[in-house]
Amino acid sequence: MPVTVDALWRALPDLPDVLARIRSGDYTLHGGVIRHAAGTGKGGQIVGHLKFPSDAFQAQESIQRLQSVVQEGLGSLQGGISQLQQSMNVLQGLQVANLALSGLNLAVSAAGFVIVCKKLDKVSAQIQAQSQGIAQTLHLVGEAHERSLLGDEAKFRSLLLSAKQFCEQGDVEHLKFLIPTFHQEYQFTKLVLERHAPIAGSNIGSFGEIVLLQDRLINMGLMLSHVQMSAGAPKYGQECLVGLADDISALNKRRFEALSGDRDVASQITIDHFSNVTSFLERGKKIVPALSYEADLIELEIAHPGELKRAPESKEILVLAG
Amino acid sequence: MELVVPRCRSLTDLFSQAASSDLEVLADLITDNGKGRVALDSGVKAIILKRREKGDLKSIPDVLEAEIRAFGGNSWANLGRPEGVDYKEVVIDVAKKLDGKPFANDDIFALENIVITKAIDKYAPDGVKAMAAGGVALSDLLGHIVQGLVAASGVVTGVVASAGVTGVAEVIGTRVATVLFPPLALAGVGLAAFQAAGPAFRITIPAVLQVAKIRRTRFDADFSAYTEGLRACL
Repeated sequence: MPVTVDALWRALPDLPDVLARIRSGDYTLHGGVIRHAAGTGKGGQIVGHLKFPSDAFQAQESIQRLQSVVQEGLGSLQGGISQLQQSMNVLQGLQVANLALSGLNLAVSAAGFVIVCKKLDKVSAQIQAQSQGIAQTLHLVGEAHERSLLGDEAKFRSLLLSAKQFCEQGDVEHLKFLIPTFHQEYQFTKLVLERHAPIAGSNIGSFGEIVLLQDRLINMGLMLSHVQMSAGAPKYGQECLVGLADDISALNKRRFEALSGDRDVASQITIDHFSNVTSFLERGKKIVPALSYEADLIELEIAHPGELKRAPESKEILVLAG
Repeated sequence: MELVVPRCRSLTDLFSQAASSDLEVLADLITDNGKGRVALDSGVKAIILKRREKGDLKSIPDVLEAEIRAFGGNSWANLGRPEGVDYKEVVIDVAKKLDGKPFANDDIFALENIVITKAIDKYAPDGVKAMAAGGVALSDLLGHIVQGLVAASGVVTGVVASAGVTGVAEVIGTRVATVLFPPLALAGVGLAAFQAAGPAFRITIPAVLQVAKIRRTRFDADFSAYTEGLRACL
């Protein structure tokens, strides 16, 4: 059997027994771990940790291959259909998230950090362009307010550039100093989104801005987690991701309550707009398993320090026996 | 732009997916319970009655729509427009007839709301209390009122001649009081006013109320589908 560089890591396709048990529903996928399925006597116990390829394209292919395996199980009568369905849902979520995030190991890999940096900068520029446009169009803000907006944006970009530099240089001490500012930016974005979420009209009228801000929140959360990891605080890195997943779920729930509770707003939504809104909510829903996967990876790092770094790069999904 | 939960679906759209029982009320109103009306073409009457018998009135939404608009064309405000008027004009006429004050930018849904409020006020004033108490749904209350008005529009000629408007109210009250609404009876004063409303309004008032009921049923179904669509994203 071909093995990876480190004896503990195995490529999933080389573990036919594990694949067969996933197919039969004995094992289920939960974020970044394989567990014994409920009702099997060891229900919930970890069988092994997963690590998807860092390259987004290879991650996509490996997910699709694993989906095919699970699909075969769904087509047969053996195994618990609900457990198989759960694994399929996790994979679909990972697939969507991989496409949306351009990679699944963003919080734990150096390449991921660069990707998030670029995405954040792009999102930030879009937000800036929109807010300037709104200000110019509506004449709602004076020059002082515009200067303040630009100042906030400059601080944010400065934060990103500094974090990137300190991470690349391994300057842990300076990185630690950036953590409060990252928290502040994350919480600010979250507060804005929380303010809009319970207002049905706002979810429709400011939809474009909300999408951008949520992208910013997600990337900020990933960035913060990465900085925590780089600063030697994986526990807090994991908490960031768990918190981000909770925040996304909570925001979606509030949006649902607002939109489903306002008939006047509902009666103004076009089919195209509704499609955009549901796609946005679904994207939020499907990103949660990816965040859970990332959090599980960090959990592995907490339990087995240095193990992630020993994991070789592979085109296949790797399994570390639990 | 197509809406997910439209407030102002066309009558043909509404009728093409309405419940048979709701359309039968309209058919009975248009055909005077199958007896026919002077203003109703005998060929059209035959089509409506045949589809009613088959329980397939939803297949002739355009016929039902045209008849309602034609009756609207016979109301006082639209006298001389026998070809029928836009349905919104029919609703505005009815709203004004019931002492409502529509705004220029009110859509059909809002106009129907005025008609509903005024009709409950006139024909079933106890209905608001019953709805507030949670014992009666709006659609049931509307059904109750329309049932009474349809009966009134049919019996008026013979009963008025022999018993006067008070007698009409008694006859109708007896006819439409159902076990569903033991505390409610159609208001005699309101019904008397209804009898005096003129022949076209004796059709368009219950017709608009029935269409409003059908529209709200469809709106609720659309809203329910919309909510389920959102829930699936959680």
